[in-house]
Amino acid sequence: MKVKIDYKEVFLYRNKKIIVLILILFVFLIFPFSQGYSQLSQNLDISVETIIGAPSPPPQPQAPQIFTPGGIYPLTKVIFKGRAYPDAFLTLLKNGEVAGTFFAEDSGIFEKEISGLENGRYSFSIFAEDIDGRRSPSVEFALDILKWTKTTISGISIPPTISVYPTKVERREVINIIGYGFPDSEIHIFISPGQIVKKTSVSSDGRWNYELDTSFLKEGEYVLKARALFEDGRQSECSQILSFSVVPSGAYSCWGADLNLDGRVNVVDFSILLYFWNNVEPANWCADINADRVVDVFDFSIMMYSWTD
Amino acid sequence: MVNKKCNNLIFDVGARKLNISALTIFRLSIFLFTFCILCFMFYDSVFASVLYLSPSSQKVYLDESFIVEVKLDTEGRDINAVDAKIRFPDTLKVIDISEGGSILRLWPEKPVIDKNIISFTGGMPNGFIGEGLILKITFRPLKESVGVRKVSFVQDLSKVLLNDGKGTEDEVEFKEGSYEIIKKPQELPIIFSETHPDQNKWYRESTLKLYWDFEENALYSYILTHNPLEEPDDISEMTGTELKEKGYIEYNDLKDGIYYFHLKKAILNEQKLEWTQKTTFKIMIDCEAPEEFMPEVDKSPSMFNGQYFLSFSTQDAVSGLDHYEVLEGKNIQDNMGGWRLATSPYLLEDQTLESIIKVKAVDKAGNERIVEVLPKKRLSFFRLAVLGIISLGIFWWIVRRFKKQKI
Repeated sequence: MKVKIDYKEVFLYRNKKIIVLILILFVFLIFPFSQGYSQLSQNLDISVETIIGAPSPPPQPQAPQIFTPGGIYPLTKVIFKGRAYPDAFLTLLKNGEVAGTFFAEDSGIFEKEISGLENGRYSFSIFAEDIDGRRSPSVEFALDILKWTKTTISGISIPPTISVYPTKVERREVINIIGYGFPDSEIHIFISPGQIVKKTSVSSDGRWNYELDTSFLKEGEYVLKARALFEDGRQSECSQILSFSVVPSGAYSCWGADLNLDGRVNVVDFSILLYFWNNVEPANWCADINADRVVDVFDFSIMMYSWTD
Repeated sequence: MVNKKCNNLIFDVGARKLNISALTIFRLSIFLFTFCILCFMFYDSVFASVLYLSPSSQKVYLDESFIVEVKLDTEGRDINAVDAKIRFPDTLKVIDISEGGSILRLWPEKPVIDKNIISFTGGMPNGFIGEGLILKITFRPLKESVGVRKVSFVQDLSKVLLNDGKGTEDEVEFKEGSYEIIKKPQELPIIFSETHPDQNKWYRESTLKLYWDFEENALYSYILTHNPLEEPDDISEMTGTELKEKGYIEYNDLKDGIYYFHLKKAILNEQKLEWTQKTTFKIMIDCEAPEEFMPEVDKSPSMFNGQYFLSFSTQDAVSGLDHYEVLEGKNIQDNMGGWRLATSPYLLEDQTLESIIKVKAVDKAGNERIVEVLPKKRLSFFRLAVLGIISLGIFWWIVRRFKKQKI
């Protein structure tokens, strides 16, 4: 008589206690002890540590403390970690009010800690400003905070900044799309209508740019936005949504220093230049006569050269 | 004639013959070639534009103001814009900055002072070649601050642009000024003026009356000049016919400009005349209104939400512009009040363009130039009436003539 032995069942029977312990441990690792976090717009990593010394919560392993003359007082901390752009200026808001401002490192990484929070539900948001002054959309999330815990939120990815210049071109002209993102990430630019996707990469200093040749675009209004894709496969939320127009050839063009297109270069054009003086990417980009994104003495010099009366 | 055997060149120069070896000629050629290359390389720096201060040095009494002119020498190059910053020490205070008589006719950034730095940007349409005045800066030493004071350009923030249509920067040489502040000797005569009492103010008066504290046993030498550094000679003017009375002098019909009345005193000491240092009284005269100009009404979709605005600009050849004012009114005779300080571009209040617009340019002496702009939409009742009468007259003539011919 042959007896067929199921070695799996034997193994399970003999090691059932150990297996149960492993399963329990597995459950605790997957669902760490934390008091609620919700409404995350990104795949954020959150960990919570409970601090010892609290009068009522159950005892936990060692946690950060501060020492005062009156005794030891544990701190409630929230730490924010993530990616922005080199030397970006970040603003952290708590329940709509500024909780802190800080700079990202020159690698684009940032870390910010706030403390002294009470029990409760908090809405946090972070946005960044690049070194050219462009602002990103905010990354928002809500947290339930327990006192005497240290909550770390990592993996925050600030959307890239973006600007478009000029915003109105004739067909076949080039539109410059520029901004800042996390170094060495890939930027995907989405243009609609037309479901057009263009890609470019972020340089080590955080800057990215794309020259969009409008030859393939029909005349009309377009919107665009950008998203960063990181090496670890994560991606950011979308940037600000901007618009631009493509007009027929000859419909809209700059006539050098003749800013009001009256065939003369005179005090009226000088007035228009003054109106946009020192503006970066002026609303009337014709005032930026040499197309270097700013209205300054170089544009003024070109106007003086072209003066008619 | 070439002596081919000796590889020498023999030149007949009058009665003499110059025997020059080929090697010498070769060396000379190399030298000339190198010299030309060097000249070409350093051409720009040798002939760069020069921004400088005038006078470059001056002795100034502690309680007196002095004028430093900012000047440009283009060194033959065609320049159309200047963007500069001038640094001055804490021990000097700026009393006035005047653009009067400047070669820069348009100012995107009029001179402003921020933390001991004067900044300005200006330009001249169609360029300028030569040497000319940019600004006149009046300084006053602060109290108890004797010593040498330097005024200089902030070189890495100052530039001069070529009139080439490309915004090209020119090479610039900067020259600073050095001004020694000294205490005024007590024995100097005191000068004052009945017609031009404030030395730092412009006056619309061409007759100058000057007084000084005359001493009977003293002799005086004086001169009225445009040069702040000029010295009166050591010859007494007491026998001159200009003096109306002792210690009083009058000049009539002076032309516009800045004058310096330099005066020094001599006292006989052991049969020797001892002349004091000079004392100076500054007089600034401007009787001329700002230049004619024509404001223009226009609109632009990117400015003032597409509303009509007024553009204007003029210059003053002497004291410099002080401000503009604008008046809008429906009545052509309406010039009573309602003037508003204005800068160009000026957003018009009456966007229907039915008002008459007057622009007043006022210089630092108070001279005014008022110009009027009649917007295209506006036709006065008078003009309408005249047109109506003429039209009726023509019509009546045509009808009458027709009737006559019919008969």
